[in-house]
Amino acid sequence: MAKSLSPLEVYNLLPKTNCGKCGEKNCLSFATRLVNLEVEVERCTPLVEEAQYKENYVKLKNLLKPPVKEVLIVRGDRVVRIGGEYVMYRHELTYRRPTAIAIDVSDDMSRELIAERVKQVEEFGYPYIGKQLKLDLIAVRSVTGDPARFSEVVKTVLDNTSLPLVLCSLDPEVLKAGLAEMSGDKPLLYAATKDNWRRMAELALAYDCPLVVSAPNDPTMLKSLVKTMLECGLEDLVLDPGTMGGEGLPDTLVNFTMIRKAVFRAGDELLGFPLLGAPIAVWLGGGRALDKKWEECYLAGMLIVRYADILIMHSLDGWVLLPLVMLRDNIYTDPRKPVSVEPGLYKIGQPDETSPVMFTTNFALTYYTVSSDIQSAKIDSYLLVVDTEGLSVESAVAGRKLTADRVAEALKESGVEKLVKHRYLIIPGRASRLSGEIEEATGWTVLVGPLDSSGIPKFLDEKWYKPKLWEGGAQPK
Amino acid sequence: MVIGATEPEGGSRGYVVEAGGAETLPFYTFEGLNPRPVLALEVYDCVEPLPSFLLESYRDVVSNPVEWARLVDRLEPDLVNLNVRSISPTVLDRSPKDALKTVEAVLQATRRPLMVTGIMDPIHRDDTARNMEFLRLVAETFKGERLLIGPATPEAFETVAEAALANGHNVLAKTNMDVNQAIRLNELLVEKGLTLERIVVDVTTGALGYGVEYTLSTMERFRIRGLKGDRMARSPLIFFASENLFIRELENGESGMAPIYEASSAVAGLMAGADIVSMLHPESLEKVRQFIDEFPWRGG
Repeated sequence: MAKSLSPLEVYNLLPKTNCGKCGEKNCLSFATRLVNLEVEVERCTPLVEEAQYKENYVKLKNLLKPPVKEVLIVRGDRVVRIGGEYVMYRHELTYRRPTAIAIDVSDDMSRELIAERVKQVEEFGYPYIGKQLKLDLIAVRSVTGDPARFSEVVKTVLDNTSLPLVLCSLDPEVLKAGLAEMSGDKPLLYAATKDNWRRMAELALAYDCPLVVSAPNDPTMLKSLVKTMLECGLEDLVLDPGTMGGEGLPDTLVNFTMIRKAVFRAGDELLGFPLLGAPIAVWLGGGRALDKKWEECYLAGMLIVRYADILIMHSLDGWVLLPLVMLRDNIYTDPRKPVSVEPGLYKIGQPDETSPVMFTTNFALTYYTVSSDIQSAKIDSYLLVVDTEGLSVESAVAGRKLTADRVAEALKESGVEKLVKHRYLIIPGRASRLSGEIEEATGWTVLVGPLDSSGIPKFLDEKWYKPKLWEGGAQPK
Repeated sequence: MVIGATEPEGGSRGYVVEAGGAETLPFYTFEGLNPRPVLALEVYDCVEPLPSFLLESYRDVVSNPVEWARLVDRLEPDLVNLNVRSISPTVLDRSPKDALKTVEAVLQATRRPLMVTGIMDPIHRDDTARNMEFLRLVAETFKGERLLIGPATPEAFETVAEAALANGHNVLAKTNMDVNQAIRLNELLVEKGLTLERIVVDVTTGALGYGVEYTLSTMERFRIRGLKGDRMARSPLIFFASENLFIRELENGESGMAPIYEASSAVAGLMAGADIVSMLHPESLEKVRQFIDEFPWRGG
């Protein structure tokens, strides 16, 4: 596993010519970045292209191979990567491929309903620190068992979205009917079981698609099926250890946990594949829809933190999905680097010499929150981003990463004093205890802003625009 | 850790609650069973305007912590968490001595074990000093109740530790999201004479989308170190799921989003090793309790 690899071990397999084609200064620094999983080995083009390195390339690929295999689900140019994990806990290195979320449509739904659901999945998006949190796949489920109906539904889905698919049926004939509609793509096939494995294996081989191996609550059977599938020549497998809600929660969690433990602590290669969770299982049987949504949400949340690489879900409500996509994004954030933005002076709108000057920290979440609040209020201003090593205002003040001296230094370096004619600096409310020190260190007059940046427009209205503070011009203290 | 003391033990609680005592990683039921996690419900002695979704539950009690405590008592949490932030100069600037009356009244309003916290996120320069004065008074006045009091922080822990030690209380030790800081604070508290089973570790909870991943990883690392034999990492952990209710996403969100945010974060906190989960929304308390009920625990 990569985390126990030494850069030297990797370096020995590189060309050692320091040619720089990978963008690094030398082979050793490329080796270090490889071990940290920051670059793909293919960036070293000589290694891939020249015959003399072929053996080393193969060795290196093997050395860097993740214990959980990476599996690709492909539709046209859209690819969903699942698995590819190197560690059991994110703090041991980082998690890599965020749990993919598939929303189901079934072949007993009307054409209109299918189109509507697919549209909702496609359009789901939540802006978060400069990116969009999205759903990843559509899972088309056969419940009628009719191949013709299935192929029709797959076609409807394909017409309405470019998202990759999971095709779900235990009948190989039904899956085949669906596959016929998607030549060249690689949907995930669900699923091979102890009863249908031979024909499923043939189908997956014939269409070169990744295949789910399913043995609900039976890890021994799961492992034996994997062995059989590998012997058939399949490589891209996904494991379904079974997902059960209610009183089945403990077993579900035990199965997911024990599989990953076997991979990372005992080196069990047969279980080194992505895991599929199906929170949709809570919808089996009766009960209130509202309760099902709750259950589906916490089951999905539990599996996102406990090793699921792909989830099949039914609920499409924003209130169920938003906490999940947020949790997923957070868990899969690289713990080695603070989420930060480049420090410096940012112009918002069209600031001029009378515009307010505010500062915030370079923690990405703080920065995006503050800047989007200012932008949406259409306030022309200068936003100075002070390097706090990626900490929020509160943590940075407490941890002395945000000090009056740092603010003074950033203010000076930004050159903003040449851009405005006043000398007022608006500081975050949570940095209020530094106000005196900042005045001393900068010579600027400090205005303590609101605790939450959503209060900035009101604050500026009262404290900046009404009194027309800038008219006094430069007011050195 | 034991929180609360019954009359024969010198307190006035109807029962005591035990927190901590994990012997395996969280939810590793195939290796052994851990004790059932403790669910706390929060009462504030004063709040900034509560979000509308919380007003649905607490409208009639927001300005009266005693009535609030009675309401919370009926929702049957294991533990009541009374937060007293009126003592901050930036909030109400109430004197710590005066604030004791609220603690006294809440102790009478519920017979459940009690946790008393001061200002959890100090902003004003005097907040820390106020906390110390308040917590010392609480510890002395309610000697024998075996409360959980805090926060003790790396900057200010001596007063709380001494007062808790002298009067038989437990301490909430709060640090940034950093496992080494948490362990260091435990060392400092132990040097003051507290034993590890009298310290609850709060590594600061980030809400979903607001740094929860740092909280979860810090908790996981702390628990793993504790189970591997690092003595100073053997305290129970607390997770404040309620942090999720004050995020901006919920201000204009769909109805129903708030409790599910709190509950899904609570589930993640439990997975990371939380021994106590502190919550605010009655609906999520119920759902998280149902979730916990599905699992086997040591002692049933």
